[in-house]
Amino acid sequence: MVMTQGHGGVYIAGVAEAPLGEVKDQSELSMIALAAREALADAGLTLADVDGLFVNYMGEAGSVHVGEYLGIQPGYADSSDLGGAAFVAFLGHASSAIQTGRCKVALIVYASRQRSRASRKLNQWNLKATSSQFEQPYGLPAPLGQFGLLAARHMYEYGTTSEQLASVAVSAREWAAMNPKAWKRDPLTIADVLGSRMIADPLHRLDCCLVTDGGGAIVVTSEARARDAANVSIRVAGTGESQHQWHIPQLPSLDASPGAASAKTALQMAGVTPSDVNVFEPYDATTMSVLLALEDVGFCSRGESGAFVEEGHLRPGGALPSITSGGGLSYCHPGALGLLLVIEAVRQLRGQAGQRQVPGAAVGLVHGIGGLFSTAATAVLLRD
Amino acid sequence: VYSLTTIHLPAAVELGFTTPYVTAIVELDEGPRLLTNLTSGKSVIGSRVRVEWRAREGQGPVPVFGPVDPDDGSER
Repeated sequence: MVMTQGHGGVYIAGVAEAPLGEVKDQSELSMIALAAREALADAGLTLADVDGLFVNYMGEAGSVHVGEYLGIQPGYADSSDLGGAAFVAFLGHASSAIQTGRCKVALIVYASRQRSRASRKLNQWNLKATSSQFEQPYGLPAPLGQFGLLAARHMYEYGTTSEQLASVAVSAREWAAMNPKAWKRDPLTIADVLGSRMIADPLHRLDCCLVTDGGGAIVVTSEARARDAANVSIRVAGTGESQHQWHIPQLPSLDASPGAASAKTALQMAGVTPSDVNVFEPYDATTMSVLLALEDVGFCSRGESGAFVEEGHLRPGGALPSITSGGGLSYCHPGALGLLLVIEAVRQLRGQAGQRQVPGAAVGLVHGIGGLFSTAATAVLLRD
Repeated sequence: VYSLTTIHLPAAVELGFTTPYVTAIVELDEGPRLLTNLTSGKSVIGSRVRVEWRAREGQGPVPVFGPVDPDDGSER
């Protein structure tokens, strides 16, 4: 392995998925433990080396419960709740903690059994926020309703079509067909998507992500420690995050998307441009989320993402291989996808993605979103 | 109307909503935007709408919006 960076470089040294799909024989904590052990072995480390723990969605005092279960006493913990984007943001938080000496080995974990528990709620609100006054009375199913509103506006402003949105789901399915762990692998057509039942107009059932169990673990550490890893370590070259609004009417315009800010920061830090990116892993909560991500990162101009995806750039063999695991649309969506996006990017950059490998991938960009199109976090990952 | 979506999921049974129903963002002439429901299925993005009040049992009424132009969906 060639290390082109001097001191201060931070690397992803290990990754592992937890059991995925429908998990009846594990708890969330045991899923995390399985993934953590595998990711640490991948990094040439053990639980005894972990002194930084990063979790989200594990309930109140989640990092403490996870730490107790794993039998570790980390000196640094972070449970910043940026929704599903948190795990991408944690790459930046962990980098800062490692670079400032607050921890040496950071473990980022997540697991959910939202499918097995049937725990997903459609109109659930934070009673401490203004939501119960201004939004709860109107029956918007979160977050699909928010993406329906964004899609309708995008169509109105730019002429985006349902066929263009559907082409994202078709492309994701083509990738999923090459991923043995993907939940949905059967062929999918645009007509199938348009023929599936309407959820939040203009979004159909197959424009929306899966509801599955799943999770995983990521090990982030210093350049010196990463040298012990069993596999090629991947450099965290740039990170950015943004939180914008919770209530979708407070988004001033499509141009003001939280992802535009996080992507700009990450790209600048890494010193790369969108045209340098070999593999793109956007959080595909819906097909609309992908269109907005393409524009926010700058792969195309605002309003042009519909035509961009219709040209097939995201597909296997396309100019911008994207959602290469099959994504939330076809691979796995355990309530928060960000961590699995990072794992897939690392596998692609290591050259370990099997049949779906993007040849020679050296620059990966992971773009997570969270909440109700409320937060975003972007990471640029490099194979040295 | 800044944007709108017709909801086909039974996401608000506890509110007494039956699907489909329309949830929208309206922009007030004074500037602020609100989440709301539209009482007409004929309104589109760009339609002008006028505030109405939906009564709620045991709670204050909430603002919803109906058509200004009768041709823009006067049915209730």
